[in-house]
Amino acid sequence: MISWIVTIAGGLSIIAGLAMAALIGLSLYLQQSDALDILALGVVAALGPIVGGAVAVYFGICGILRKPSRRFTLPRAGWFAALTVLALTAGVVSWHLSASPAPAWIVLPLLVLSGVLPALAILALGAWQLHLPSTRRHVWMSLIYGATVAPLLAIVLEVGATIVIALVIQALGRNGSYAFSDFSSNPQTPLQVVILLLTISVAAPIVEEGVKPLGAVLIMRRIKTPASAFLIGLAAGVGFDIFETIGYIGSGGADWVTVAIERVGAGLLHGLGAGMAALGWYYLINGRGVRWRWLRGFSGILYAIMQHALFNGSNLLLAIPGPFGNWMAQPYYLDRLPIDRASVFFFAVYLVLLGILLVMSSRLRRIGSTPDLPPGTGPTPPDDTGYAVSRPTQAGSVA
Amino acid sequence: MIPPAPIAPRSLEQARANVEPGPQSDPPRGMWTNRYGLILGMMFTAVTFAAIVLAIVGPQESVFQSANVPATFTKVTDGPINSPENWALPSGCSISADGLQVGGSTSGTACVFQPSDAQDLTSQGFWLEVALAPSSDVPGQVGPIIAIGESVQLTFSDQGAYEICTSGSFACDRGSASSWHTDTYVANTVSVRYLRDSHTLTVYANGCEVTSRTMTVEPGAGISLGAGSGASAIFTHMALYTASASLSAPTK
Repeated sequence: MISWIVTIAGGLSIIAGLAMAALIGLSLYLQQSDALDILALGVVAALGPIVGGAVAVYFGICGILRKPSRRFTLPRAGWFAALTVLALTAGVVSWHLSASPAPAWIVLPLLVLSGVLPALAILALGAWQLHLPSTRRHVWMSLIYGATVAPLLAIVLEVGATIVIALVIQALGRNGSYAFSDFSSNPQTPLQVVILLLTISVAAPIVEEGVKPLGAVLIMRRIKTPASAFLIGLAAGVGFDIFETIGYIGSGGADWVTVAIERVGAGLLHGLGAGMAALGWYYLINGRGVRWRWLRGFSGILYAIMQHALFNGSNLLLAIPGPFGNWMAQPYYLDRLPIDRASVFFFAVYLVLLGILLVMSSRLRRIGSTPDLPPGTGPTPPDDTGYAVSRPTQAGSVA
Repeated sequence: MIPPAPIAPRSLEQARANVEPGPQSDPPRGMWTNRYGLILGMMFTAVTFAAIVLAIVGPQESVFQSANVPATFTKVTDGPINSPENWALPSGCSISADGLQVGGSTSGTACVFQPSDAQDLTSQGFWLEVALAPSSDVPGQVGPIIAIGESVQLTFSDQGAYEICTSGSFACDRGSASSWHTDTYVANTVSVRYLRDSHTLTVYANGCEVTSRTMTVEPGAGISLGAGSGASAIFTHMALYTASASLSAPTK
């Protein structure tokens, strides 16, 4: 059943992507301008669904034909990290060499890679740390879900949440219109601080950490180890990060590389959060007989929301008046390229998240090797070909 | 009555198709683990190098027209804006060592370049280039405006979104310039070129073409620099070249 759903959804995704491509092409033609933000939107909103849809159709048909999927692998994280450094260095050199990146399509491939490569480095790190516990079909489909359906759901729900926040503030006799601003300027009143926090530290984390692991939840009955659940969630978060980061980088115009540098670790936030949430769902759905099942389940989901809320809320540090706020408001320079000092704080957060990812994946790998689930639901050893050796389980559902 | 479909027993083949392998007992080794990883690694490497070459070499070979002053044009002014000479400065306009500061008005502000009011510097063709101070130096929201009489009004936002309204058009054009520096610490330059022979007005941001329109600049259309409603701008430098044969004397 799921394979049929995936195949049909893949086909619909291709059609939607083609329609989006036509709309964006028309927009560019009518404007007669080369807008990097629109091209970047084209990549995530048109090319993403088309490529993702094609991959979904392939994996869906493989599933319908009962063709087993091989073990998911990627090159080592170091390889992607090296390519990331290369891409960002080239972006910085290009920024210094030419006044601006026109025409936009010339820098578009490097821009996209600056968002994709660090995200894949994080996915590869997680996969290798977990000893490659899942199948290509599950991991790639989860990543595609995270990069296509999840952002669409998140956008719709976040707009709804914003409207609710504004209406509630309005009903309390205060002006809630600040909820609809782009928050590019610091909040000026206590009410604006409250609205900002409600929007970016409450609504956004609940919505995003709620929708990212839904792809994993759909196949959760087939996932046999916590390590697999975490990796599949991580893939969804990385996909979500690719969508979001490419959009943000595209809005940077001639200074796109600055945004790319500042968001280099954003995949850790989204990936780790979605991995933890998927792990939580794993225990809630599959964890019958596991000690502290409900605690483990809800803790994973709550961790993801809290991590996201704290990260988003830390943006308020920039608004603190006085010497600290002034210091944060100044840039540091890579030669002539200015980088926000606030990014130093975010780099420190990325390091902490990296540490948590390493610790979690190490622990989950051990759990995966020594099942804590009832007999018949534990991991199955792989054979030499990379295929899992079949062991029909009680918990598996029919495709 | 249609009998209910029999529930097929779960086959071994079906189970094999869906099963998760679980973590490998031995840690994966090498850079790629298998041929699939190697192919992925090589593919991403090749694409990365191709993208780098395109991004670095591309702008040098750009098919987009780059900004340059036509050789036949005569210089009117080219230098920093640090003197009130040549400028009509209504409320909202002031000149300091930083440049021409405009803004604060709720209805928009325009500071007129007086030589363009005294003689026709625009209708025969012109090249105007202004440098803007970085957004971090400008109080409030950034929104510079360049106006050529009633013929052209060009507005930019600090994110590179532009709006150009020209006489004879039903609607204003909107878009965004990929060459615009959105970083608040980096300055931007806007250039406008009008060629009378082809009646073409071209807008450049930081030396790269943003948009082009066919239109006619009315004789005597003066040049104004300003800021939109509720917005501000600091113009630090201005260059004006004209195709007008009636130019009396270049200004400082």
